[in-house]
Amino acid sequence: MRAKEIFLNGIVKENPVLVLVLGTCPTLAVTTMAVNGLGMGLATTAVLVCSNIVISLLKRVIPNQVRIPSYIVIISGFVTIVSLLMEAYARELYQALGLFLSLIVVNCIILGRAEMFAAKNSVFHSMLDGAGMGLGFTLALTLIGSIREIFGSGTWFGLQILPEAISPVTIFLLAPGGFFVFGCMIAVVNFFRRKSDRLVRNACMNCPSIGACQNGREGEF
Amino acid sequence: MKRTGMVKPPLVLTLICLIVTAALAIVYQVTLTPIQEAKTAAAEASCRELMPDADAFSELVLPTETTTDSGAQLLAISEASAGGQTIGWVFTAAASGYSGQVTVMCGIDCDGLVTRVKISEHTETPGLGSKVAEPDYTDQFIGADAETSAAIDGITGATFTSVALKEAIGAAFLGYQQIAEVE
Repeated sequence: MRAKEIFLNGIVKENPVLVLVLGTCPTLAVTTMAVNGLGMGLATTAVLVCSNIVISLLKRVIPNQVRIPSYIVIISGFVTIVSLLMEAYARELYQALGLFLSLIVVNCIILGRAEMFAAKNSVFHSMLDGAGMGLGFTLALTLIGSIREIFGSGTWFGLQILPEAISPVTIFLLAPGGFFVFGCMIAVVNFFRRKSDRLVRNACMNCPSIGACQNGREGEF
Repeated sequence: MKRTGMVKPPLVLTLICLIVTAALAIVYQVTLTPIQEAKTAAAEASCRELMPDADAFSELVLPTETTTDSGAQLLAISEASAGGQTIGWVFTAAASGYSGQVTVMCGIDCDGLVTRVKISEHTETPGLGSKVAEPDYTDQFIGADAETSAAIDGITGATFTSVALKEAIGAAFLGYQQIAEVE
């Protein structure tokens, strides 16, 4: 029962990109095409699930003082493995993602989930959390990538969608277009979130990370 | 208590590092051959695109002069042959575009005519500079020689990229001339 909740949490309620606003750098950089967003999302999901499992397994072994370096070593190990595998078996995607593949190491979603979730929960739940968060990330990236590709190049996953006579709006492929689409999506998500959640006056109570935050209760009055 | 705090953390971290390193070494070994195969396959495939009639390619040593007056750089030459006979060369050259290097692959046959031109790598503005990489534009170079290729019109709004493409083709012809002299 709780398992399903944990899994769905990352996809909808605590979507890492659109609600927690983490991992913005790869979100804006690789989403010029839907397929890049999907590839980046799946690569991150793989790393996230693996690192969450291992960190959860080692949560009693890793001393508190060296937990951050330990997490980073584990995460960068998985990132390197994923990028080597991708270079060998999915070369085109590897080249499209370029630098951002190695930058998964410093993606705050992964370190954030390690610190906030995997270090405190069971292996199975951590795995689900990683999968949910990863898929939430993938979903958001694919959506943003789709919007930018359709308006910016007139294609979707490489297929011509808009008639060629309509000249595409190139700015969607550039950085300003990325910010624009990102902002619009956050606005839409916030609109629905506000409708469904009863708004509480206290800022901390509205924070999606309240459950994991050490100071989560501080703002209560 | 204090002692364990000094010893255990670095020990655990070292252990984690060792295990991760070992895992990486294994994955590296396993993927080494597929990565190299994929690399050569990709290089072969792009050479084949430029020289459709060739059945084999072999890398040549770069000639002495590799930089043109405009600053374009010749990066690689691969000899294309069909049935043991050399039918041309594929030159890889790079020149500065609007934002960064534009890498161009250019096939030149034994008569000194361009067989095909392709921009293999660029970071130009999508929708403006990137138009230069489209076949609509690059197909104009088919059959051109050193002089006529330099005279082809650029694309409006993509002057820097068009110039970079032509400079890189210039570098390809520089390489071609040096090879042709030897033979």
